[in-house]
Amino acid sequence: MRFFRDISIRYKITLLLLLVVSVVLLAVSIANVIGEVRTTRSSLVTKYSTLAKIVAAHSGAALSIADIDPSSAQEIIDDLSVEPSIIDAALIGLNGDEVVHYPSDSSDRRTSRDVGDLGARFTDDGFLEVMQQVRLNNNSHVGHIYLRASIEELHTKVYQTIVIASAVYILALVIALLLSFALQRLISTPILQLAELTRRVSTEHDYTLSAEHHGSDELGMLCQGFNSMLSEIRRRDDELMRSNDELKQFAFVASHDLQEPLRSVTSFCNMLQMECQSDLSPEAMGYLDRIIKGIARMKALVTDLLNYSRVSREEQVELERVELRNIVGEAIVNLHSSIESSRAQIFCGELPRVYGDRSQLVQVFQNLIGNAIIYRGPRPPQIHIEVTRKHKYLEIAVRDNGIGISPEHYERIFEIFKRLHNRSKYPGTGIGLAVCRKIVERHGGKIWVESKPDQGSVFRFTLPNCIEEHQDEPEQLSAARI
Amino acid sequence: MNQNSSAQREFNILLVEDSEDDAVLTQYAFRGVPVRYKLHIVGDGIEALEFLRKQGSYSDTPRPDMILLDLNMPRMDGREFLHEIKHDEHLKAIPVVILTTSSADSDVMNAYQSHAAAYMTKPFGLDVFSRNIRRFVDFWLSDTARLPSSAAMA
Repeated sequence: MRFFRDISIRYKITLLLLLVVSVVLLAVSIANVIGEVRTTRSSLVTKYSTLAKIVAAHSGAALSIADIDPSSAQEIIDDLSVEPSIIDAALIGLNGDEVVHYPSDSSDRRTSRDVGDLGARFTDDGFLEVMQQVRLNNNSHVGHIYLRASIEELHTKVYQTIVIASAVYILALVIALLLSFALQRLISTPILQLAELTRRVSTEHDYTLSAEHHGSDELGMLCQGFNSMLSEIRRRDDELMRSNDELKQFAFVASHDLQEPLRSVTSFCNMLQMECQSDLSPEAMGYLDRIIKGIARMKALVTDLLNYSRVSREEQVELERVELRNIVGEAIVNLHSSIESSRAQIFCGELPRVYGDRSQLVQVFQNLIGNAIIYRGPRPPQIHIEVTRKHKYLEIAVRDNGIGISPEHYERIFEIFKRLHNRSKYPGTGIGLAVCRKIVERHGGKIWVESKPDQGSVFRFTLPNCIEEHQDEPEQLSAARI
Repeated sequence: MNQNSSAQREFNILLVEDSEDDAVLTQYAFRGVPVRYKLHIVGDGIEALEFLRKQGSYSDTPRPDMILLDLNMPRMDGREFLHEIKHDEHLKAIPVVILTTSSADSDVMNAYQSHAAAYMTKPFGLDVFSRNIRRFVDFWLSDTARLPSSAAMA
């Protein structure tokens, strides 16, 4: 049943039409054959009964004198040789004894017969027997006539009928098959077109396509519905993009404009500290210090937000061929002071070329290496960077020996502003990994973590591979606008 | 103390800055520098042009030796102003140093392309800002770089 469900509707329709035709034809053929057979049987019965009756009608006189002189009776009965199917026949006297027999030398000669049932009957061994009364013209009963004929012709006829019916049946099936297959197009073609369109929309994400169908049957309604769904998708897409753009713009402007007043506050607090020491008590100086530190945290948050929104704001990621070596190098340079103070060691395997945005990739490595240093354990941080070539992309792993992450937090840490630790213990705004994820995803890759508490962490992410090494022109690929 | 004539020279510096807070902070940062200076403050590009061209309410203004220019201002921002004076025959020789909160690469590049003499960012902490202003004075207004003499400027 599953097979039937999964074959194309073209074959379904064809098979169904064929099934109907073949069942109907089979019934018709069988009825035909049966009808033929019955007709033949009854015509045989008629034929031999009539023959018997005719002979009976003319053998009354001969039979009545057959005791004395059987020759005329024998003559009459011998005339039955005209019909070759007649195996034997006999004229029977009133006492039930055979008076004359045809053929005269037959081994089936019997002296008496049971005259019981009159009429024709088919015997079990495949013959037709006929028994009729013989009467004189004045209707007195003088005896019986018996006929036995072979029904070869019936068998032959049945055989012929079956053969012809079968041949016709097969021929009709072939015609039905061809016709069904040709005609199913009327239904299936528009359906297949719609299915193809659906497939294209799904794989190419092209929502500008539309279905054409000009009928007003259910198929037409399907196409109309399809088109209106597509235009709804387009509309929502546009709306989403617009509102997204607005949000991004807002986030960018907000975080940019928020920096100004922060600077003012910090600077004037600095001024208080520098110029008004004599006027302020130690407590007041302490409060000032807390104010300044609070503003510094806010500034860090705002800077990170700005960064994050800048990553999403750009129209398209311009992918160029970049050397991972240089990118990792730059990230390390940017982190040099925390690397020195933590005595961190960074080991790199082979770092090949990759397609990407240089400054964004520097950010990714800077965040990952920076995190490895911040979330270190008791030992100095040891960071390994390895690149594995997969089929169409590269998988980059940044492994550390830090405090690790327990599995229930694997997804959470990539969310913006979600942190796992107290700020005073491990510094940070909680935006670094969110930025990494955004950047990696805009490059068409994925980023994830494997880790266990106290057993370090491995952050893995994928980037598009640099396809040909020997190409001369640096190709500019653009990722889709997200 | 150097005996160079620039030590006795009083430098006129035009600060083009719309934020009052930043103006106060900049003035503060200039305190204690080892040169004689006068800090003139205007709020946007239009006022700055009036100051330079001795127009409007600025009829008797001295010609500045240097211009410290903020980028983001109302009416006429720093970029437009820079473009304007670098195309003014009479004013284009005055060195303009950008002094702004923006550290965007594009802003830096555009500034130098429009012939700014230098680009400085305003750091977050006052102590760093003061240090930077001292260094600025040390470079431009001491015996490191030379500016056109007042006579030549008239």
